[in-house]
Amino acid sequence: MLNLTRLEVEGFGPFADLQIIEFPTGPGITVIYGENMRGKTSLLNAIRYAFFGTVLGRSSRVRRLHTISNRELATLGKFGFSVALFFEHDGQEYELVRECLPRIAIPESDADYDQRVRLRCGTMTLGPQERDRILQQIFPSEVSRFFLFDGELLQEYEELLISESDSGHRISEAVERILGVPIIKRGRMHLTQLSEDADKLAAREASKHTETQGLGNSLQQATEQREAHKNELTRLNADLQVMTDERAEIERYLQSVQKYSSILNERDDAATRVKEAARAEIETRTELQKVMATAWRSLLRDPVSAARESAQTETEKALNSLRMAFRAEAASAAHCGICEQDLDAAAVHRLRESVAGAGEPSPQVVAGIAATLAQLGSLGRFIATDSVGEVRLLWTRLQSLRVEQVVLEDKLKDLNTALSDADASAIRGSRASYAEILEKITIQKRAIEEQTQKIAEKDNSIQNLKRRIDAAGKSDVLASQARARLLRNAAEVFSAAVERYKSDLRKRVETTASELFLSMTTEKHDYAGLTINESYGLTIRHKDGHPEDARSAGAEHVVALALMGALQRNAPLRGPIVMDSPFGRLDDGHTSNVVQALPLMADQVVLLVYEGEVGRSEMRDLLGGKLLREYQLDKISARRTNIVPVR
Amino acid sequence: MQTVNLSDILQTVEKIRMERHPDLDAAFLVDVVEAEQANQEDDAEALHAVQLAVQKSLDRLGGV
Repeated sequence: MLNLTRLEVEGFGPFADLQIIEFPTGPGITVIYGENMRGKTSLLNAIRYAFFGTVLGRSSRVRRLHTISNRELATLGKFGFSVALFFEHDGQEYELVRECLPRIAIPESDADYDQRVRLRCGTMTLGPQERDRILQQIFPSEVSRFFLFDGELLQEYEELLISESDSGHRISEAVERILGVPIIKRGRMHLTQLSEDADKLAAREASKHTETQGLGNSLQQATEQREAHKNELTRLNADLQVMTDERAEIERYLQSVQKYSSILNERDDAATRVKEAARAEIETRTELQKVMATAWRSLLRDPVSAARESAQTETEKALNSLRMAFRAEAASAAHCGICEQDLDAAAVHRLRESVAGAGEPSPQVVAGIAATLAQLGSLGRFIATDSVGEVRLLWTRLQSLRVEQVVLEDKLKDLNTALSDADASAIRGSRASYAEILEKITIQKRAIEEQTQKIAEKDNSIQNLKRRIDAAGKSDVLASQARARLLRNAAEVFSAAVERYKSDLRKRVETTASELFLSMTTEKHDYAGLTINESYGLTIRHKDGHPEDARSAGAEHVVALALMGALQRNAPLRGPIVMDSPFGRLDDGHTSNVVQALPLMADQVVLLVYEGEVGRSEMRDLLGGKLLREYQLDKISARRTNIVPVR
Repeated sequence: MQTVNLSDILQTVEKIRMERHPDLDAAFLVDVVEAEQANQEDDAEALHAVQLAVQKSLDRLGGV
């Protein structure tokens, strides 16, 4: 069990001068009140820095140490900082001091600093190797997320509900680590490794005897083949891990450029549409040119029609005059000059009557008949077309395409400006790489399945061979076989124990988390508890037996806190919980319940809180005797904070 | 904060031993768990400790 006893910070964040917090011994809560920007997160980071040498910013990004130096002191030319953490672990006192000291007068980057670490155990200062080993034993960095956390980190626990999520997988591994699963896993791994070595030895022993030589050689061969398959499997798994890491990295990158990514999509779409509009404009223009080649006919249609009517009239008039002239001539000569027939008196009379009143035919009209007929013929050959509608349509389309291009180009300019800070080619490249890596992972998983199958086949044939060698009953062979059997059986036990232990743990974590959740939720009458999944993700279970799929941010928060508490209570690893402003997403009712549940979560809890979340008198009422000590962060200036005991 | 309570792990291992290999040396399995607990960050040391536990168990079984 780890217990913090004292923290000293100097030059770290807003703590310019040496500031000290004494943590009370015994189970209970220490509360540190501080307004925003006073240094609550810096205190959490000071503890993290002391143990691991890292300082985290938003989204768990590691901050540059150069930026941690107190800024007021930095303006005076004083850089660097130190944190001293005093703690007890299993009855032993420790003092851990980590300092970050500038190498040059005006440091500009982390490279300009030296870090010094000292771990005193009782009265003895440990050497670097022993120091690192002890620190890793006392507080493994992989599980720090369950002891040092803020509201933002709590949100990550939702990932445990997404089985395929990489971050969920990482958290799940950390959960198993705190619960002690690696101890059995490593036991299984070492027993398996030694069992295989023992198999090889047994095979060598068997091949020394004539009776078992053949079997021994076969066994040796089979164990070598199995080893080769296992090596290949190890290689494939290592490659898969590299690919999975690469996928996670690309996912993180794409997530970080998500805003740019959607703008880039929009830009690519706009660029494509501009090209399409330009192509359509060319096509429309070509079509318009074609239509315009015959469009003049539309303009001449009415004049030609009028001219045709006029020529028709003139022609008819001329033909009529000519007809009258022929009749008059026939009546006068009593002979038709056209059909060369003589006319009788009656016919002559009728002809004279038909031409009576008609004037003499105009010689010009008669002479112009040929020209009039020719003109009529020409006008008749004119093909009248109406392409006005089509021209108008094409023209309108052309205009609209031009407008579309102008609008899109304008949009493109805006989008390009928005993308000026982004590396578009990197985003495109990452998308392509992402698709590629997904495909590679699928292929790799298939290869792993094949290799696993081959190993199982070899295992079977090895067991058969061993049984046959056993039957031969040679004493030295039996001795090595006994060793191999002991290891193999133990490996089998550990292998089954891994699954059983995990399953039991899940049940215990589920039960404890349910108790904690029900003590913290304000919906006690509706909810029955929490249900745990394979990855330790927790779902709220309604009293009607159904899961609550749509959970509010506040509910997620309470579930995450319940998980933290449950892990603490079920883990062989025990230590203090240091929480920075964990009530951000909670309403008053939930906040009060969570405060009251804090003593159930861990023996030592350090709560960094903004008084707007929980006031002092309320805190005292809620925690009663469990509230052991209070501090407040006093503002001296924007860049300087002092830590003052309240009571 | 190191592992101080191995009872849950030992209980689970013992249950499985009884179910699957009741003839297997129970003390050997306890030795393995303790070896792993004591050498969580050191593979070579853990392997060595397990090898010693194997010999101890074989000796117990009659010096095979």
